[in-house]
Amino acid sequence: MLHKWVTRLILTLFIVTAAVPVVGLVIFSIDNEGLVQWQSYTSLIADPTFQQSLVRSLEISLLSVALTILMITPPVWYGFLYSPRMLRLVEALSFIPFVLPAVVLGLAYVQFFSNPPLDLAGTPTLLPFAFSLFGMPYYIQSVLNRLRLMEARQFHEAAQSLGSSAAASFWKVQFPLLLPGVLVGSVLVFSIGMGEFTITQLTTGGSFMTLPIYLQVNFTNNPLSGAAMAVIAMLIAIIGVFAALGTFSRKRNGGP
Amino acid sequence: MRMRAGVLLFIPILLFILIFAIIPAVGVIAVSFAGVHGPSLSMYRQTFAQQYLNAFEMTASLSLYGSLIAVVWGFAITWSLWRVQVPWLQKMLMAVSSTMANFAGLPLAVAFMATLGTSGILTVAINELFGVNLTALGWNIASFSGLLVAYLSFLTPLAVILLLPAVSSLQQEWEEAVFTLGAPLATYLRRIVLPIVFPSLVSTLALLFANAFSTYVTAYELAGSSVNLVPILIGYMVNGNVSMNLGLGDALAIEEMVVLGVAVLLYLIAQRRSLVGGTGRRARAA
Repeated sequence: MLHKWVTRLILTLFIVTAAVPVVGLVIFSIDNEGLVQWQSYTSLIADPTFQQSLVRSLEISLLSVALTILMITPPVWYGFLYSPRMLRLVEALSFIPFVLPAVVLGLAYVQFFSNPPLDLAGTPTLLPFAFSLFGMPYYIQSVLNRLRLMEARQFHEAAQSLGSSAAASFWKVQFPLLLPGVLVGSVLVFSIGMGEFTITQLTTGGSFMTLPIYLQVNFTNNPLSGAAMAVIAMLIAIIGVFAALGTFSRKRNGGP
Repeated sequence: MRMRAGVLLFIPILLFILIFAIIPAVGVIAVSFAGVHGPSLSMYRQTFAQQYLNAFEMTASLSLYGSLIAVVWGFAITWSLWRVQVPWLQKMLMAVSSTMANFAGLPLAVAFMATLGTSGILTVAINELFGVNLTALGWNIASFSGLLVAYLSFLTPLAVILLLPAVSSLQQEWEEAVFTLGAPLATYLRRIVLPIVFPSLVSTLALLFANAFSTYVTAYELAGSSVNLVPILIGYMVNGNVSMNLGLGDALAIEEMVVLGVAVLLYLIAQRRSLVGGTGRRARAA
């Protein structure tokens, strides 16, 4: 049938066009006039600036994840059970990043956080907060997805009717059930943290070398090494998303 | 009593949004209207200079072309994905799409330079294999068309993610019924598919437009200042390559946010339409 061939052609074309830049990047990073070389990777791994930028990015991303979990999980859980109106407000506010893009937020931070007592522009202090803000819509949706699936209300009421306090019910019953949603959301926030460039560049003036900032500088100065770094950055993002989707679908099939 | 205590849980997150999003944004609005003697529109008047008008036109047309192509092409892809009915392929393409659309900004831009830049792998390979010099033919990654190709690499996956729910709500039986009754493909598309999918197409188009309009990293890395775009201009106002002019940057930022606000509003309206259609379909199925 003609139909079948058309759909196959379209999908093949999509996969090929998506793969071309990625494959091109990988070849670029290992190509030495037609021969394969790994030197760009080995020297990158030995590069102290790269190591430092990797550690910094990991620190900032983990900090953003911790901040997001602590700040957002309790109100979303509580709102889901008791206060749908507040939940709707938080959900609506979480879409702010879509109208407040990174460049504009950077411009706003540079001005607002340049006077005491919040004299934070130029330091990395603002970054975890900004990454949390960008990750908020993803995090809230993955926690909400989990709440909808796990019959939170019944478990909570059961715990309470057996004499458990709300706090005990949260920690002993709800949080363990909620964990898959928290993990998926955390992985997505983490991926944002590892890849964020705009806010980092604008608020610190590029002086704070995170992975993406160093990637940009490195690719300009030494394209081969920069390409190797881009491959690593892309791998981190792909692993993150696959991990998030993997946990989610497994829990969906085998959940309560 | 317990209810009251629970509402306290909302305080940190609301404070966070207030301090790290709303107040800085309000600050931008305030400064953009500030003049030497009280409130004025002088910053906005400056944004009507030819350079900035050009930037808005350029950004809008790049975003419009990009989102239109991505929606049409993305619809063809989701349609095919739904037709072939291979679950693992669907899952894998969704994961890859999600990565490319949301998390691969800078690496993807670097990948384009390494592949299609002046000394990119593909550019060089085409030259050596076929003797065709793309650069001599006018191809340049740091141009409007170069950016368009790069933007499509994250706009198309985003379109696929956003369109798949609507497209997969189409039922195979409807198609069979239409063809059994002897109607041509065009009738099927116009009378069945389009009414169901149209709201999603519009909402996707709006969200892609907003996304392209606010893209910074890709444009910064690939073109820098050689293509005149609003986010790049705002970035330069902060980075101060020439001179730091925050007030002008603020006015440009507000104008950009108005554009994004309209697009997001359109997205929400169309989204609601498609939800209404969704419940209607579900009710009929039940």
